[in-house]
Amino acid sequence: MSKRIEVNDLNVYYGDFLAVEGVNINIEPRTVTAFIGPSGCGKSTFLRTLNRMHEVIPGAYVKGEVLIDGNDLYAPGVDPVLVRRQVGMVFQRANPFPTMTIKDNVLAGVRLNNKRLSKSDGDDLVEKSLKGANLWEEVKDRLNLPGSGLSGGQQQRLCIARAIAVSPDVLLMDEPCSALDPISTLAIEDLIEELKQEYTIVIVTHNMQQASRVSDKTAFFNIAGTGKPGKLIEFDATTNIFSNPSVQATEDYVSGRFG
Amino acid sequence: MKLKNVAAVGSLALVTALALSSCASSGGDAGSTDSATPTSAAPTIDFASLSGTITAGGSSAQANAEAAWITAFTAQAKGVTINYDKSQGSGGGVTNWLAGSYDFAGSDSPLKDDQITQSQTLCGPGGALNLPVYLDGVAVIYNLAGVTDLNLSSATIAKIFSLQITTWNDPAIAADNPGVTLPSTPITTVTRSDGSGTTTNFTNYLSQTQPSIWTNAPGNAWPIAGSSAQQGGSGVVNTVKAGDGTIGYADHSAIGDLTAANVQVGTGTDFVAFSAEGASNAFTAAATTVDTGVEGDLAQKIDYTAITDADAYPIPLISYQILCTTFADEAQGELTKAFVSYVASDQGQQISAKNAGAAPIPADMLAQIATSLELVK
Amino acid sequence: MSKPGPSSPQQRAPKGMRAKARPADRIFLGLSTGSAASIMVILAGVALFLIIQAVPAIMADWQNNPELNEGPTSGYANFWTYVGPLIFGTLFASAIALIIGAPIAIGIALFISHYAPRRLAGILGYLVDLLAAVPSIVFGLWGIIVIRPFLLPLSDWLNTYLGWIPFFGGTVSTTGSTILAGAVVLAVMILPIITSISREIFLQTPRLHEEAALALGATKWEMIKMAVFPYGRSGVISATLLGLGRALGETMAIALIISPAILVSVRMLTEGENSQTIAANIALNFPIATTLQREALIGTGLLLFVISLAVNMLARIIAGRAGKSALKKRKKMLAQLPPSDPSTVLAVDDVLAGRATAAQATTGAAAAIDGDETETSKEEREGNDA
Repeated sequence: MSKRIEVNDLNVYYGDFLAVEGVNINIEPRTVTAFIGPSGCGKSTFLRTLNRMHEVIPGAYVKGEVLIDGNDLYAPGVDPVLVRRQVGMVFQRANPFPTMTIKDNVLAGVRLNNKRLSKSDGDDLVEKSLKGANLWEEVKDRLNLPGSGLSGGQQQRLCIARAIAVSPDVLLMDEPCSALDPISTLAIEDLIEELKQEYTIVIVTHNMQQASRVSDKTAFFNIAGTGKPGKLIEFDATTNIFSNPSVQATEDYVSGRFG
Repeated sequence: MKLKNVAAVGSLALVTALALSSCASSGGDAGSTDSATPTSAAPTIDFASLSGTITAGGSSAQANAEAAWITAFTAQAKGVTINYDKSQGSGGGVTNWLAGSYDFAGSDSPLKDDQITQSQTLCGPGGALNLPVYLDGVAVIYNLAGVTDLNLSSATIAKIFSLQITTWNDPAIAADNPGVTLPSTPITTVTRSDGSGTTTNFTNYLSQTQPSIWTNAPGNAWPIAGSSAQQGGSGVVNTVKAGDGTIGYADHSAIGDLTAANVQVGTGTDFVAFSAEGASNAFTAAATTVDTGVEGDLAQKIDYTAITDADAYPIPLISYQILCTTFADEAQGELTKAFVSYVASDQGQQISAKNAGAAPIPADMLAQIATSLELVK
Repeated sequence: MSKPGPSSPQQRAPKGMRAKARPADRIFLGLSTGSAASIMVILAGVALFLIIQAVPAIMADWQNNPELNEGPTSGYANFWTYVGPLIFGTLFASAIALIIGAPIAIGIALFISHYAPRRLAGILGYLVDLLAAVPSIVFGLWGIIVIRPFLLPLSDWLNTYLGWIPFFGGTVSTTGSTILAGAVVLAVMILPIITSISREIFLQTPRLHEEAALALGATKWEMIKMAVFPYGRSGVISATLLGLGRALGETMAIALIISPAILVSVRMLTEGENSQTIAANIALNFPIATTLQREALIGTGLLLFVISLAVNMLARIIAGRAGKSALKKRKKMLAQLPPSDPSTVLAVDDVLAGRATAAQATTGAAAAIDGDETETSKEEREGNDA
């Protein structure tokens, strides 16, 4: 299930604009990797290149390699649709499909892959995924109500359930707690801890406490100035980044001196 | 559509040409070389003294002729503006005129009895005059590959338009056209989808000449379903032109380059193509003045069965100008009278014949119109 | 508007905070109120005119009245046997136009909003809007000269191979003046209105929903099915019904193209069995009609007015129902949830807002949505933009 991500010399462009430059990174399976850095440093952009979601923006493209267990996502002939089925994603704001029930939301991705899903298999998968997202107990009595009827934190966990229902190799999270209250945030953080047992997780966060709490390794991105490309400054074990960074800019950032 | 006093250069040239040629001059100063002796052909109108605006409207059949008359008239009477609105058709023209909005109405049919009664509130006890100023013919047009000359008897026409004959090689058509090879193409009859004076004339012709075949009452709406019904004379003409095996009816002045059938005169063996003289001769032969009880009224009734001579076209079409004998405003009456006199003059009739494809009204009827117009105050 | 303050009426407002009369505000209030009132007056005036003019013809004895027994109105037992086939023809022609036009219009809207490159989308959107500006008489002439002959081979084919279906039966037309040709032209005429409204709705689909689908590995089409259509459904239905409204009243194109007959027939390919529409019938017969015949035609116009009104109301109800059903769901959900969970209420409002936005885009203030939803929908929109 869980796979290694290897990125070699990756540049991300929006048209002529170089947004992220020269990223080299190795992400081990069954770990949580946090991306931190000031706004606009390209960490979210880079995250999206890991499942080719950046291509949603017209004119965006990359140069370089992203290997998942040795297979290049950007090799000619690779279908981005299939990439996204293997690399799941959770967004900044919870985005369950408003017209679908909780159950249909969980099964939305599965139904894309195989149209014929028997009812009992479907029910089993819903239960398994919602349990996996720590949501089952809260919603098991109202699976047929709209998913958007849940609280913000519940909705975000529903999105995680939806993402893991398709059994991805990697789970990407783009600031998943930035729109949540502290209690809901804690619930998500606990969940990440559990999900780590099965998935390779990459999370973008602005919250440095969160990064230090949930991640094994942390990558610090920075930008030299407006119009300049974002760069990966330092990538190390989380404890090192927060206690003993090797680059001055990292230390300035984690100690709150800028950003 | 309003026709304004815009003297198009071409029309002006034509008017001048007419004035210079046989037609003598117009009285007063027309700005052209006047021969001082007015002939009977031109009315004595003092163009220079006229000024004001005439508002009229109605029949679209005579709209082209109205345009030609207006251009010619206002070219001489510089102070006069005439608007003729054809958008309302005959019915709307009469309605608006009865409501007092028009100085005269153009109509394909004379006033009905109840309209005559209504007109007395507008015009006073003298009533209103139906003056036949426009003459044309209903042409039977067709488009049939390989056939350029077609004779049709009245019985055959009635059978075709009542859908009793459905193919072109029908024996009845063959009998009218000995020696002509007719294809087996199915016949598509093309008629008017909108109410029309042309339809009134054509159905009148059919029911008078072939009452046993054409059993529908004559009227302005086409009575039989199953034909290709098209809007306006131009719609009929275009559809006949675009199809194969099509046959329709339209004002002769509007048929363009389409072929019209030669229509049987009476019950004889003569088949006649439309001509201006033919229509005039038909008018002389078939039109009689109806006694409507109004002095000077010249409403006509056409007896189609009376058209039997080979020099007459069997389906003439008459259109009227309708105006009050007494105008509320005397000056307006004089102005309208001047224009109608001009229209009903030999010169006016030649203009409509030349510019609008109409046939001239016979001279004795023009004389009667002139007499009737003397009643207008 | 404003609630009375806590102070008693005797107390004066402090100096500098006293309400001032602002003339510009008042004038504008007066002007806009007047404009709003005038639309009511105009509508009521039109309805009243139609009713007053139509009553004599509706009440008349059609069998024995000499005026009604000649020309276009002859041969009918009463007003209703005259207008019945016309109503059928109006609805029939519009329905065919809708069946042909709506899917294409929605397809164009989808192409512009989600498939076309930005520059092409701009050009296409402009062209569609341009189509809306073409006068109907031009469409009519185009129908006569181009569409009529163009459809003839198709008509022959349909009649030969599918003639057993009533729609394609009968003697096939040789001139092409069929209700099918008219409906095709009508379909083109209603394209712009359906396309431009649907396009706006589709463009408003929250990016979040689209990305949610894409991130699950949805193809573009699957994303559209999962995110775009559910969001835009009520708006697209409203757009379609507005298109229907336009089709019902269309006059010139129909009058020019179709060879009509006043009868009830579902045949689409014949020469003489095309059910006439109300609007075209009025246009064709008004000029020649006598007074009472005119009143009869106005009576048919009254019924067209009623039908159009009904269609528009239906559009509004459908657009509004999304909001209403959401309201019901909200109450149901709130009943099920512990009242101590304030975030739930907010979340529910988000849903309602999402739908309300779609409904509002088409029907504006008329959609039956109460004030607080309208406000949350604004928030939602701003949230989406952020």
